[in-house]
Amino acid sequence: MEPKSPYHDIVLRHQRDPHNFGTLPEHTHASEGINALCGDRLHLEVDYRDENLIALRFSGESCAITIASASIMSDMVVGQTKPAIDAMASRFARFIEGDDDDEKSLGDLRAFVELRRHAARRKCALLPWATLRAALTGAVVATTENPSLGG
Amino acid sequence: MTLAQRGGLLGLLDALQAVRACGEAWALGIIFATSGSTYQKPGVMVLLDRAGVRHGVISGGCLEPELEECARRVLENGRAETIDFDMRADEDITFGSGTGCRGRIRLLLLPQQGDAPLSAALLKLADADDAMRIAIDIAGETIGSGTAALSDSSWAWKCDGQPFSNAEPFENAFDVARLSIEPPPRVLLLGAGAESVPLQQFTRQLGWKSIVVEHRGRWLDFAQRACADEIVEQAPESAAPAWRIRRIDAAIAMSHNYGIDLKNLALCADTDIGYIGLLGPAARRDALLADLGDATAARLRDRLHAPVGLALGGSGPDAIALSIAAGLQRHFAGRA
Repeated sequence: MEPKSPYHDIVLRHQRDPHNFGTLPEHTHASEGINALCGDRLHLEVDYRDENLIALRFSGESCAITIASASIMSDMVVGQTKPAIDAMASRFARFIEGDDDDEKSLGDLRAFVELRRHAARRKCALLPWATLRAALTGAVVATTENPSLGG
Repeated sequence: MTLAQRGGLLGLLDALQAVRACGEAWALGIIFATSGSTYQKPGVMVLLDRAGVRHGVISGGCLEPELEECARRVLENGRAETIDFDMRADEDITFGSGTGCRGRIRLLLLPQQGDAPLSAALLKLADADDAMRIAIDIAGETIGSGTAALSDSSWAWKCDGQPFSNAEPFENAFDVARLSIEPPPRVLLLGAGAESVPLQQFTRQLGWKSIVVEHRGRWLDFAQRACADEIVEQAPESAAPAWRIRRIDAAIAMSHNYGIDLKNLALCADTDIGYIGLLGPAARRDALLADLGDATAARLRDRLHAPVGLALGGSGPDAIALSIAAGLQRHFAGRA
């Protein structure tokens, strides 16, 4: 059996004790992230005012990767503008696809480098980001699955 | 009656014929090695197109998303690839398949189109009496190229799946997967009855071919309603020459008639059929064996399963059919 990687522990730590898990009664934006084929479901509430993300909470039942990605994201996006969040999400997508090797400023998101070997699970890590971007643009639902291609 | 979709290799061959008729490209996945606990074993195949899995499974659904991603790449590039589903490490539970099975599956995905030799060869297996021997290069520049042989026929293909005139396409004999693909099990049902209809559903779903021998009008109706693959409408001794020249993997005397079962058991005793079942209670079996005589009974003894089927309990045609199918499945899986 291969030795356990440190990235595995980072993901499990966030999955078992996710940051900013819960609800935000005073939220200004909300969206639902649904990957129906694999059963991941995420509800995200955001307080975003004056071009600034003030607070974010998420809830729902999802796999370890989605929960950990949402937890790490929730720490990183507070205080950011929508364009900055869009840029972070795009960079994260490029990183896990292997198109961007720069780990600087990725923080714990670098743990998802393992997904370069598991293309089918990238959609799980990207679901929280897609849900946040959907919330900030007023969309009610987001998904990172392509149902016509079976996921 | 609504027929169940055929399972096993027969189901895959049905799908293969359909996708060939569409004129589009497809990918054929072949498991060539496994270790530890895995859902499927070497030789199992799966058919995919650009939309995803078209027929077959390699797991309970956990590995298929990655398989489909790879198949799209194979179809786009027209070049074979291997995939290594390694579920042995903790990382796989978190980042990979999430199964926790601790096994490993190695699979080759091959691009196929039109009259691709490998697919053409596999279609011959539906009615074959022998296993097909396949050898495919799994690494290097010639990955995906290979040969297949069945009885006196042989096929060869290049790494793009298209025909190759040279029957020795391998550049490195150490990186060749060699597989033996068995034809679908063929089951000879000697006599029909109320259990024929549910039994035929099981045989279809499990991918077996069935031949029913029945000449009595009332019971023939059961065989016809069951939609058996073949029906031989002849009495036992007249029918025997037709099935004796075929490969038969299992035969079951199930006519519900003492005299007909007696004749069929005597006919089976003179064959090398590995599994011979007899429907009915133990006392009836003993009476039949006594009437067959010591020499014939001795030839049957190691192969006779009587009462046929696993002792699951229950009564009626559906429970009997389930019991028979379960016993056959155990035999075909080598667990008997």
